[in-house]
Amino acid sequence: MTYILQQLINAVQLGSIYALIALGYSMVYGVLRFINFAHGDIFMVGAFLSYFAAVLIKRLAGATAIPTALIFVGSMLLAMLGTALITLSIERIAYRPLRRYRLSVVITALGMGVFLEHMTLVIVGPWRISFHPLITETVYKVVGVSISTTQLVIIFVSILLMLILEFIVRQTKQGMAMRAISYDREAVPLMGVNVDHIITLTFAIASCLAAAGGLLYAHAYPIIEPYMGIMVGWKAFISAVVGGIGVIRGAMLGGYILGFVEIAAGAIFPSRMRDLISFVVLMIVLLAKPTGIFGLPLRQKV
Amino acid sequence: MAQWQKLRSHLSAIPVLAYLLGFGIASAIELFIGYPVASLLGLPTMPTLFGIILVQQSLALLPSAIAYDLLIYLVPTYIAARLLTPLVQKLLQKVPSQRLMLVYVLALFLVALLWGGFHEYRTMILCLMGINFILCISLNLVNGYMGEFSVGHAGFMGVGAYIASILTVWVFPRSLGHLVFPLALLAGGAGAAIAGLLVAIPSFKIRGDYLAIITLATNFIIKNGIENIERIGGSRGFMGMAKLTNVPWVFFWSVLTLVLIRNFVLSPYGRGVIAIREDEIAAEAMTVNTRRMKIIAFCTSSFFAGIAGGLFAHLLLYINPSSFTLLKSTECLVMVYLGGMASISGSLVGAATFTILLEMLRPLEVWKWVLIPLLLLVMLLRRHTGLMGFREFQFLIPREEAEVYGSTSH
Repeated sequence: MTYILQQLINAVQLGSIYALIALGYSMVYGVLRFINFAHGDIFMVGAFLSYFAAVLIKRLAGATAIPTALIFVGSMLLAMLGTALITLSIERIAYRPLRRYRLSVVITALGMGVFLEHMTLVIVGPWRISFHPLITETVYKVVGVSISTTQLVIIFVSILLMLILEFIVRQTKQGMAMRAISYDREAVPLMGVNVDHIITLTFAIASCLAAAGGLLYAHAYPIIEPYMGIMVGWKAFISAVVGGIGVIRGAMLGGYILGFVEIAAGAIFPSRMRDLISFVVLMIVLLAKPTGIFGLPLRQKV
Repeated sequence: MAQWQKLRSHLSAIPVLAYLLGFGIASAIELFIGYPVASLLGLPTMPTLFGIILVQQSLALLPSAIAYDLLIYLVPTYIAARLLTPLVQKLLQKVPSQRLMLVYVLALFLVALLWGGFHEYRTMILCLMGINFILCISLNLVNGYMGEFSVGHAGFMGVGAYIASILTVWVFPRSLGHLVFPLALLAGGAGAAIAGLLVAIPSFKIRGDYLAIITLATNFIIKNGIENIERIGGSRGFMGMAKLTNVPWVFFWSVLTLVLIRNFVLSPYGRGVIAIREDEIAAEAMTVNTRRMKIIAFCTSSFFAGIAGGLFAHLLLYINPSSFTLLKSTECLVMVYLGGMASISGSLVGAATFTILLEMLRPLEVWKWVLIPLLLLVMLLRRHTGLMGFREFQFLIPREEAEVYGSTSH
């Protein structure tokens, strides 16, 4: 029983990170009907930027001791800012001029992913960097199940971010515009909504979530390297699809589902089969429900 | 400006075939006087790729490399092409248009053999180019002609590579070598085609982006599946193949693929596949059996990917599951979109450009992969359907189709 509970906590931890990144895929898809394949690498950039931000903050602080929580929040905000800037410039240069050509823009997205990976490789070199946790680790024992501060922080921060996102999407005018665009893209510009602004905002929010995901991921698995975004990115993408791409709650649910499936597969089968199992689950879900759990059926106009 | 125009019209008056033959003659001349000329110009070795790699090693060699290219390639090619022009024109008039493709293919083979057949590195590049071409054109069938988005092409390639290698290493007697090589490749292709069903069957219900994910998952499942079979080396890989892939074999399979896919695309089946791209429901209403078309298209596509995999395995003599990851699939996608969607000529151009670009930029190491996406981006911003999207070289189009396609003047 404690074993299962322990694994459950691991699953929630992993699922939270997947959900954060999956949200980025889903939001962009919702407004643009376009899969931003560079998003996994945006996540990687977020992890690196938060590493450098933490180093920078520590250096600036010098001898004065600042609370670790402050460093954590500070580096997260800096990383979000940096990642958002990078994503927005990519959007401006590589996506916007090609927006009308759906397939070309997918290829540029793949290309931008490769670009980000290797640009990072050029800048930081081919070494794996070990990420010094910004949280002082204490392990709590609750009815035989051990929870570390890191796990608590990861789960808490990601749920907080998702609540903020829910607030933005549900309660603000911009959020309303986002939902409207994904509902009917032709009518929204006629209502006086500047679609470009909303798209920019969507990319910015998506990249902020990815940056936070990068920071949290680096706390759970404290080795960062330029290729880390590929696998995590694809997994998050799967989460988004399982939940129904374009649906924000679907992405959250999908992230947790994939987290549970992966941890369960790792616990039952040999760990090298983990990826295999999660992809098989994906295929089964898609065969049973071709547009994901929350996805609306494809509308076919004849 | 006027002179530039004059030069252009003068150069374009010479038929492509004459240039091709001229280049062959230049390559033949290089075989004899390449080394002496290179050493005379102060180059440390004979330039293998038009001196581009040498120049990257030391910029001081730039004038000598340019001089070498001029002396060995440009001037002889021009002179030979000029001299051959009347002969070629007569030939082109005599040959019926159905046979025209054969003439081009023969000329291309001759040139390939003369330029690269006697040089190990160039042979490697040519073989890779051919393999990439097969991959590219087979992926183009699904992505360009059928309009689905497959991102897992490397998986099928892996299936073909493994089946062909296992056959040549363990099953067939080694002494038979080249005699059974086609059999092994065909078996690899057949295996890959069966794996293609993994995508084809879900494609009945699932479309668009969701199908892209199925192809992605298939790629992962195949790769992880191979990794988990210890008998064939698992993630350590598989080796022991004899070096059976050479220029004639690659050329043979490339031409075979080209002819088959071209004829497929022009056949009623191909029309059906294109109809699915344009509007699936309308196609279904017009009595296109969309399920059958999808199975045929996906299986054909993965069949040829399997063949390319077999050739790849017997060229590099070592394969492991991580040769067939998404990175490889992405390379295939880049070739397709660089060359142009729904175009056989595009696949030719894309595969050739991409392979040469990769080789030329090799000395740049990590920077190579920074540069290539940027080049791709610039290219797509200028021509969003790729270099040859939805267009064909004239010799690939049957005469009665010529007005249907927006044909290019070669």
